[in-house]
Amino acid sequence: MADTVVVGKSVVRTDAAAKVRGGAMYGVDVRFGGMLVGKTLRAGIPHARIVNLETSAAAKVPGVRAIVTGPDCSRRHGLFQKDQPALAIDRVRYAGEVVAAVAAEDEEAAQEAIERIAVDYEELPGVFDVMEAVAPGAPLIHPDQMSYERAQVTGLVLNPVPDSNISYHFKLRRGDVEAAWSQCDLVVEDTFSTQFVQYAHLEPHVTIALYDATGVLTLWTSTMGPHTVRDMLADLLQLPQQRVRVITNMVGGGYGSKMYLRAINPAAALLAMKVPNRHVRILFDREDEFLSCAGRLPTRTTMKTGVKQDGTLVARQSTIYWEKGAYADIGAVIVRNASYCSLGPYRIPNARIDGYLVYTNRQPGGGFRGLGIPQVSWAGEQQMDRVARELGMSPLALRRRNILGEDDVSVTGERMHRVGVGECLERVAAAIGYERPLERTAPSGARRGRGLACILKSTLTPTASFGFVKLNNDGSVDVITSAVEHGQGAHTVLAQIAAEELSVPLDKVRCVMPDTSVTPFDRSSTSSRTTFHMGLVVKEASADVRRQLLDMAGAVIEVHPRDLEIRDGAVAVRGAPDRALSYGQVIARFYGGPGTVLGKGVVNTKPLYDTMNAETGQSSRPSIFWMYAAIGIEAEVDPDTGQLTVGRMASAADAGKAINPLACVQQIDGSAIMGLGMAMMEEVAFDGGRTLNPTFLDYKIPTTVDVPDTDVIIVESGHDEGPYGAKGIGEPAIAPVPAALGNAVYDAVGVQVKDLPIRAEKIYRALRAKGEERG
Amino acid sequence: MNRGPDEPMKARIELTVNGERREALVPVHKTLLEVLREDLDLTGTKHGCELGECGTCTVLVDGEPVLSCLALPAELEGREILTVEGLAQGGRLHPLQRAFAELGAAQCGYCTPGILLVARALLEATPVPTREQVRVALAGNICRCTGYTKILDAVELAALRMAGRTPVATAAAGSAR
Ligand code: FES
Ligand code: FES
Repeated sequence: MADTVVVGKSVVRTDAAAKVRGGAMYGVDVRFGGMLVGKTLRAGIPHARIVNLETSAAAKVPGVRAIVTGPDCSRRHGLFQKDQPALAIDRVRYAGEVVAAVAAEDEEAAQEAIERIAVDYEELPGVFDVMEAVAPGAPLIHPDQMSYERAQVTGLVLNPVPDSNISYHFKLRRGDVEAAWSQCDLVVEDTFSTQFVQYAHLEPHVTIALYDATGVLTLWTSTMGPHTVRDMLADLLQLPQQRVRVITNMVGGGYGSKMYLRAINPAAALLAMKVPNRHVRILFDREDEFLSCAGRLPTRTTMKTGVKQDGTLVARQSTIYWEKGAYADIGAVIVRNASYCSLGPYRIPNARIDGYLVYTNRQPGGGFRGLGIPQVSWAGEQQMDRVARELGMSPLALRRRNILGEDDVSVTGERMHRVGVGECLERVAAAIGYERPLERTAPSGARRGRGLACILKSTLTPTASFGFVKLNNDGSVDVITSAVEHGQGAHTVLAQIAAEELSVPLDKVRCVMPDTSVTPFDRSSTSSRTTFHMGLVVKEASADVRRQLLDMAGAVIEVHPRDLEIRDGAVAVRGAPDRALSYGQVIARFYGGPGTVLGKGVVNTKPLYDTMNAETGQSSRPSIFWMYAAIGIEAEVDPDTGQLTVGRMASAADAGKAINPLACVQQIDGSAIMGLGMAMMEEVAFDGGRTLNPTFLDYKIPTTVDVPDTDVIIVESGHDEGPYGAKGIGEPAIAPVPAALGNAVYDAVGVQVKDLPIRAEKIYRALRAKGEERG
Repeated sequence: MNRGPDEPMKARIELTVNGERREALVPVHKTLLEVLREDLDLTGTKHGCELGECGTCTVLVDGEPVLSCLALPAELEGREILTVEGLAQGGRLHPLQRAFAELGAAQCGYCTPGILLVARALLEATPVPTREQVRVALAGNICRCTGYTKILDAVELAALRMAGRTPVATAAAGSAR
C-alpha cells in the first residue's frame, strides 16, 4: 500500500476540542422554546393483567396536554418477532414496563399527572429464572408467540418452540460429537453462569418528538441507530418512512444500549401526535435507565470438552440458556453469533451447540458491547484452563496447540485468513510475563496468580451502508453518513479517510450528524461495524469525487483526465505541476460559478455472506470480518478473606489496520476495563422480578481507584476487503476479561468461581469448601 | 406557562459564573445544575443521575468541587462558580483541556467537564500530584468509556506542563505499542 498521510496516524480526535470546552452538543442539550415535559409510568409489578387503567384524574391536572396508554397504538414492534407493544396493552411482562405517558407544561404537572394515573392489576404467576422458564408447565409469558408477525434480519429467522418460553433455538452440528468422546483421553464438564449487567452510560436516554403541520414526525433522540429507530417507528405507527425523521446529535455513551425503540421513543411519538406542533421531551432519569431500558443477557452454560493427551481438542458440546427477559428484541442475533463463538478461536472438529433464547418476567436484555462473547468465553476459556491443568500442560501451550491460524477451518466451516488471535495471545502473555517465574506470595501475604483468555467475535452480516462525500466550493469537505458518534471515534476515523483520499487537511473535513431525512441509510453504529462499513463507503465516495474532479478539470483545461492527477489538494497535470488547479478553481471554472461535487459510496456485504444453515450452523462466511482479542491478568487473592486485587492487565485486539492508533487504544482500554467491572463487581440484583439496586450508589462500576495499570496492544493483521485493511475494534477486548480473571484466581489460590461476578465472598466460600474437603 | 395558583415560588437570584454576574428568576427548588443549563444556557455542565452519585455535574464553587445537581443557587450568591465553559482563558485552552484532547482522555466526552473541574481543583491544591493522589481525587467521577488510564495520564501531563516541566513523551499515542 502506498504511504498514507493521515490514515494510520494518531491524530487528535476531531471532536476533542468541543468536548473539552463543554461545547459538544448531545441529545440532552437539544432544547426548543415551549417544550412540553413528558414522563412515563412504570408498572412496578413484574407479571400482571391490566384490569383497569384510569387516566381521568390525571387529565384534570392543570397543564396536562396529553396522556397515552397501550390502546393508543395497537401494533407491536420487535426486530424478529413483533412481541412488544408501544406501551403495555392488557398485560405487563416486567416491572419496568411503561404503561402510560403524559405530556404537560412543566415538570411538576407531569409528575402530578403520573401520580394520579390509577392502574388495577391482577397479578400473574411470574417466571424469574431461566431454568424455571424452560421447565415443562412453566407459565407462558407470550401465550400468543406463535401468531406474532415475524421478519428476517441479518439472515436470521426465528423458530419459536410452541407452548414454551423459547423464542429461538440455535443449533450447530459439526462432525460426530457422540462418536468423538470415545476418542478423547480426557473429557471435562462444567456449568457456568453470568449475571445481568447494566450499560451505565452517563448520558441518559432522551427524546424530543414533534408532529408538525406537514404531518412529519421528527425525533431528536440519543440513539446508535437512527434509521433502525425510524424504520421501527414508521412500522409501529404505520407512517411512511419519509414522515418519520430521526435526528441524532453527539451521544454520551451507548455500548449497545441506545438501540431500537425502548419505551421512550414510542411514548414520545404518541404524545407528540396528540399535541401537534408542540415539542414533547422525555428524559429518562437514572431509575428509568436501570428499570425500563436493557442490559446484558444473563446466561447459564453447560459445557463439555474432550481432548487428546497431547492437548488436541477433539470435541465440545454446549447448551446455553440465554435469559432474554420480557421481549425478544435483538436476542436471537446474540444467541446465534455468541453460541457459535462459544467454541472459541480454536480448531474443533466435532461440536454440538444448542443455544436457547428464553423469555422471563425480568427486564429485557439487549445487545451489549461484546454481544454475548463475554458470557460464552467465561465458560469456554475457563474450561480451557481446567483442561490444561488436568493434562498437566500450560494453559498457554494448550491454546497454542489449538488456536486458529491461516487457512485453518473454523467451527462453522469457514477457511480463515489473517487470523490475529494468536498474536494477541502471545503479546499479552509476554506483557504480563506469563512464562516467567512468579513470586507467588505478595509482601501482604496475598497469593499471586496469572490468567489468560482469548476470543473471536463476528459482526452483523449481511448489512448495507450508504453515504455521500460532498466537496464544497472552497475545497472543504462534508462527510454525509448516518454514522453516530457515541464516543467510539467514528467521526474522526471517517474524516481521516476522506482527508486521505481527497488529499486535504483533516481540519477541512467535517462529518455531519445523522438525520434520516438527509443522511442515507445505515443500520446502526454498533457491532464494531462503522470503521469497516462506513470507512469503505467514505473511501468509495471520495474516489467518486476524485473521478469527477479529474473529468471536470480535464474539460476545463482541455487535457485528457488520464493525464491529470490529484496532488496536495489540487488537480495537477502529470509532469507539469505548475499547471495545477485547486478544487475550488475546478468547480468555479466548470460551472462558471459556485457548485459542488457529490460522491456516492455503497457497501453491501450480502454477496460475500453465506447464509448459515439453520440446522447445522454451518456457513463458509458468516461474518464479513472477525474480531480477535486476548487479555492477560495478574491478580492477588488474600487467602484468608478472598479479597481480590488486579495488579496489572494487558489487552490486545486485532484492528486489521489501525486508522487511528490512539482511537484504537481508547477503545481497547475502555472495553477491557468495562470487562473488569463485569468480572469483579457489577451485577443487577433482583428479588423475583424487582430490581434491588437501581442507582449508581448500589450498582458499582469501576472508578479510578478500582482500575489497574494497563498495557494496550494493537495487533494489525489486515483484512482483504476492509478500508486500508481495517476492521472493527470497539468490542472485542471486553470479552476475555472475566475468564482471564477467573483463570488468574485459580492460578493464585486453586479455586474456580463459575458464577459471575467474581466477588471476594465467592472466593472465600470456595476456599473454605476446598479446605473442608481436604479435612 | 399558565399554571396560575399552583405556580411554584420564584426567586430572583444573582450568581457569579465564570467571572460574570448573571441573574435569573427561577423556582426556589431549582438546582444549580438546572439553572446553569436551562436559565443561563451553560449546557457544558452535564448530568448522569441528579442524585449526587456520579460526579458528572461537578462545578467549582470558590475553587472547590460541588455537585451542581444537589446545590441550590440561592445558597451560592456571592460565591465564585466555575463551569467548564470558564476553564479556557480568552480562547486558549487550559493545560488540562489541552492534555485531555491530546492524550485522548475524552471519548464520548460526557464525563469530561466534571472531571476537568475536579482535576483543576486538585492541581490548585497539589500542583504535581502522584498518580495515587489523582486516582483518589477523581474517585467520585464515573467514566464509562475510557477505563481512566488516559484521564490519569492527562492530569499528570497537565500538571507537569503547568509546573514548567515538560515531559519528553507527549506523543498522542504514548501508550500504544
Ligand atoms: S448528576 Fe450530579 S452527581 Fe450525578
Ligand atoms: S468519556 Fe464517556 S463517560 Fe467518560
